[in-house]
Amino acid sequence: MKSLPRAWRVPATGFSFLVFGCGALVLGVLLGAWLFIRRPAPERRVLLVRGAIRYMCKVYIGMLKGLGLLTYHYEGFDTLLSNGKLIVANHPTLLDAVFLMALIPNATFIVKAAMANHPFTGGIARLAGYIPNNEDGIDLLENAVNALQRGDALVIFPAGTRTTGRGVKFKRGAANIAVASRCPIVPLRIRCQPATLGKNDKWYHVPPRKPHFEFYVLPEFAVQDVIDINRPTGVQARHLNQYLETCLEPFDELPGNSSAGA
Amino acid sequence: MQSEKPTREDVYHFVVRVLQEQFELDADSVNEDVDLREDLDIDSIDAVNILIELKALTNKKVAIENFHQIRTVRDLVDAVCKVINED
Repeated sequence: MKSLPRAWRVPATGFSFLVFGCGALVLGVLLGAWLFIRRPAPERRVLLVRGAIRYMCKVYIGMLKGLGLLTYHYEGFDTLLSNGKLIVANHPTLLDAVFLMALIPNATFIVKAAMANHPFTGGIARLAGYIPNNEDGIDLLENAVNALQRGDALVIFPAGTRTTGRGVKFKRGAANIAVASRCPIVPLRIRCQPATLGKNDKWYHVPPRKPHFEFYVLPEFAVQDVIDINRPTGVQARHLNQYLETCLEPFDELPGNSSAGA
Repeated sequence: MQSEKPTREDVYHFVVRVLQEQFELDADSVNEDVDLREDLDIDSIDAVNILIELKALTNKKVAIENFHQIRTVRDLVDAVCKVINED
């Protein structure tokens, strides 16, 4: 597929960032005002907000595609319809969460404290019941286990920040949550080529050609399938974390073709 | 009721035992000056498991504010003792 020239994609990317920031702010304010007036029950409120976020993310991704800024492909998301699962994904780009918010219904995200406190995104993140990843672990672990037991899909990027390449070390939050709740785990592999919107990329550093995003839901597994659950929990979390790091290593082949499975 | 409260010594031994059990560490790799993050690779969410275990010793939930300020085993033991003596 032919890419539109950079002369187009740079201003279009700038426009998209602007739309995202304003969109999140306006959505947060409007939803907040509407919820304040209508006062739905808390469970219903969260569902409404997540539905609105999902719709807006779909519209936004449609806009990015329409502007010629990216293409995408996804597989296996129908298996995520029954919930109470911990979804762990690698995190190469800034758009990963936007895609996953569009693709996974009723998902609780664990969001960086910086995002939860940001004036543009903080309001909407709170309304959606997303769990802020604060410095101290107790609330995080409790809130996450509760969300899973409620039947939400819980999405974590265990790398903690945007990373690409091999040898990425994961934070052990996801592993500890899985060990504590014994929930099924679904690895989700994200690939973006050429790389774009990484941690150290400025917004105007658009890649030489239009990036293609791919999202693959890998087969789910239970904690006891991959580690010895008779060991102490601290050891279990470490072992599970190592397993997650290997199963989300970036891959050069597409899944299904080769040894992509564990 | 004062006598039922665990002493600092009790807390220290308990913490060391939990660390050894939970993370399968050698007895001689843990002492008061050991840095939880640097030396033992224990992060705040790992520490939640230690705090859960501590309930058995203290008979109450041990919530430590500002866990990120705790560096060494000594800091942790001091913080737990502070919680125990707060009543």
